Amino acid sequence: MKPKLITNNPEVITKTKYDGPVIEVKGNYIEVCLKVRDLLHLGYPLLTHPLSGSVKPNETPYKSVLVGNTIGKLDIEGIQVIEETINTIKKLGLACKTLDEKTNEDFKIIDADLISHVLKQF
Amino acid sequence: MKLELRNIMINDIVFGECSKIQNNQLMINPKDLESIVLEDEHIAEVKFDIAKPGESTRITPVKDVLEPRFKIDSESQVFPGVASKVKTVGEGKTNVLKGMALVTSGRIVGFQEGIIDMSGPGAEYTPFSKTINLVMSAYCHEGVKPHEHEKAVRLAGIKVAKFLGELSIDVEPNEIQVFETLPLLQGIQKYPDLPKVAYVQMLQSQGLLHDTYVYGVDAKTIVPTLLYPTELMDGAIISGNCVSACDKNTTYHHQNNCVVHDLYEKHGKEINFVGVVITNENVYLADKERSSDWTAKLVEYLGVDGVIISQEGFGNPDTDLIMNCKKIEEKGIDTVIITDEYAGRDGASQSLADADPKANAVVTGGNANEVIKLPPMDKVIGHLEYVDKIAGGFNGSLEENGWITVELQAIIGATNELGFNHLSAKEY
Amino acid sequence: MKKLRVVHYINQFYAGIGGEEKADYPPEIREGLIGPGQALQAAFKEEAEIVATVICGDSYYNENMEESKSQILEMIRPYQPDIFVAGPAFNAGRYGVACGDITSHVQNELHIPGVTGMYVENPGVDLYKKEVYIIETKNSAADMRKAAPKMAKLVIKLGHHQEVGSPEEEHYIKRGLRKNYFADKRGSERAVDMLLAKLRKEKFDTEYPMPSFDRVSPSPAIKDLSQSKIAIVTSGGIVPKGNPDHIESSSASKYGTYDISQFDDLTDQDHETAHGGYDPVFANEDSDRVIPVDVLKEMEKEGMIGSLHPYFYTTTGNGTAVANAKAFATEIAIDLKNHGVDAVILTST
Repeated sequence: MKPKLITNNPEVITKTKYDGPVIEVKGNYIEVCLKVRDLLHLGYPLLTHPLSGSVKPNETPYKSVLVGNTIGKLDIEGIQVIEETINTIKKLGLACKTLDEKTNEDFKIIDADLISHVLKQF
Repeated sequence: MKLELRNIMINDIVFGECSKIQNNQLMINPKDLESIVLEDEHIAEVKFDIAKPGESTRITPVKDVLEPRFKIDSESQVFPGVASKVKTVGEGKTNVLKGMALVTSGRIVGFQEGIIDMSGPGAEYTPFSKTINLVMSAYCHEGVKPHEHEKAVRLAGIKVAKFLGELSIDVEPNEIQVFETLPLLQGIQKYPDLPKVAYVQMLQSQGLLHDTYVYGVDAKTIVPTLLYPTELMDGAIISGNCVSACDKNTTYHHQNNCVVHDLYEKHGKEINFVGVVITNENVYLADKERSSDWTAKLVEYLGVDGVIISQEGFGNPDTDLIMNCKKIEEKGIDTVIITDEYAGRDGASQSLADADPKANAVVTGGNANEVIKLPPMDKVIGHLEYVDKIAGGFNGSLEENGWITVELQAIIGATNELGFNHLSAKEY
Repeated sequence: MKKLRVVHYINQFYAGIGGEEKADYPPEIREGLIGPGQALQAAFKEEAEIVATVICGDSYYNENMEESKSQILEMIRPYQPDIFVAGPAFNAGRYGVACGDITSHVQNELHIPGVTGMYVENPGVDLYKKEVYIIETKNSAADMRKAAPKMAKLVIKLGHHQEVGSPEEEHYIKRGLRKNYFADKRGSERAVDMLLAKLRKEKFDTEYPMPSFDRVSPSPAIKDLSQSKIAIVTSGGIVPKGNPDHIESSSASKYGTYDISQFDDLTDQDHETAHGGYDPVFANEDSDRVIPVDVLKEMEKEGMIGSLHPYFYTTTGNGTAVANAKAFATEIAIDLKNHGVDAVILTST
């Protein structure tokens, strides 16, 4: 079973053509992480680092994270990673500046590119 | 492998009728460079400027910084696999244009950062306020996608740097430095009593604007491998990393890797520096596991006693760093890690996104969130519209008198994680 | 420079009023200096003057924090001090908490800088070091002679709004603030030096000490469950309906201890959650979902466990400061021991 893609980036599908299951989050970076955390607590494993890229959480509003699609032993390390990530986002703050369209578009492209290299493997 | 670095001091850069190096002065005919850059169909326009230490000049947004070098006696050439054919470098004689840098500027995405101030308080934080800079500002055609744009400007910089290096082909150096690393077993026999040390260099490798290339190979696709330290000096590693200005490694940083230089400094006296292991920083957690396993396996195989690990970039590489550190320590090998911190503007938050008690020897390049006020500059090179952007942007603010308040993370190389600077942080 | 006006805070013991039996002494203010104020005044020389001294019993302050704080702030206000000094509290725990707490309120509400002093293991240190300058002292009042000049020096600096140096220079306990500085050597050279020291087994100073990991190794497994007394401790915020002690929904400053001996099953009639960090619907419907009282009571009847401790301990875990959590845990652990509890079920949410 292909992994679940959790994302708030509306363009990630068109840009990556991923045909596995997608959970679209209508919300900010933290809300994506919370959705991921919910899945981890149900026993799905974390596959990609939710703090991907050097673009800071107070810059980019978009994030895509991949979670395995089979329930197994609780992924304790993944849970630690997601918690540290949520802490880091809270520390730096969320992207709140109104973005011009080009910048907004660029953030979508970067997010889609970072995850695309992993999606290709599935 | 033995490499002779022949330093030619560049004391001045001027524009002129032809391109040449004479009496330690680099003269450039911009047309020579323009024709090289415009070979790429994506680039519409290119401009060259000169920025000198002490001037009231700001360069922004900086994409990459390179040091012109050229090999004068080998079949191999600098930037192998990119600007030259793939042939192992690190041996022979290499001319270096010392005291200058080629700075490339390109507005690839809307949120790019990267400031070099040639004077004022910001100048203290970047090594490139101390070099005479030839600045290349490239502008792509409308509609060129970020992928193509990044690649075009990256390759243009590499080609121009190589061209400038080649101008030195018949110039006598002011200074010669020799670096030599023997094949492992010979090296170990030569200094049987000294502790054996390796360097683990982590390369940013996550995707668009976050990539690094090794002999032209995208580092996210490599498994950890071994290099002679001198290969770095010949441009074996180039930067395609345009994000997180303060702690990205520019190509200049790779060419002048300070960990390599400082390990060579003690080599044969207090330590036996046996080589470099390069590894990556991928998004996929399975890649992180594999790469850190392999890194630990390689340093164990080398039989070293100690390792220095350097990081690149913000956030999730903290996880790679801690994994590398932990797994190498678990092999009974001592580690020192070099990182930087995101402790918030007040310095009160936790600095790293990951931590482990085994990481008990840490060198820090400073807190990237600390703020600094930068005065207005008489001249701005690069992309003017960007200055307002950064001022009103994510990590800064513009005051009425024209000063901008920015976090150090906007300044190129400010908290470099190779340990290129003197900046550090301590607890108050 | 003008002579600084100082108000000093001390407890009932140092004011000569009495020991533990007088710890409920309510706050009062007196003109001039008292007790340890003399050593401070001597260290101030002519640069500062203690114009008034606040006295408050340690129990009184700790048990009526909100009230004591407001009373004391009003007492201090008319003296218009330039700077506030509390203690030093040395190793006295409740005195340390009072010193840290009142100093932070004087800073935040009266906008007057403050200094206090404590032994590094005083519980007040962890709670207040981020906001308050705490001069490091030894663990007994015998250190007053050495502590006073250190405190005085920092008082004078802060009183004149001068820049405060590093913890090493000023002798205050590190506040956990990371500040940049330019080192003598570049980072890579510092790394090589550090590696050499580590290889030679010499002492070296890491530039970033990893956050301390408070890992507790679990106690050995229980041999006979049917003979054991089991207790429930939770950070899931379950409280008797109405939350009688007003445990905060996040960043809790207290925990509650509640009797469950009369309950075989928790219901929405009698229990609920105070926790603000998760969807409370299911916990409010049936609090056994967070603390399994129903099941444990059954096990008690069946004889599978010896007994269920008649009280459970509860707080809300979200955003609660580690220092607070540690303080709660210490007290809870003592209580558990006193009641002969053999094992604890810890539940979180």
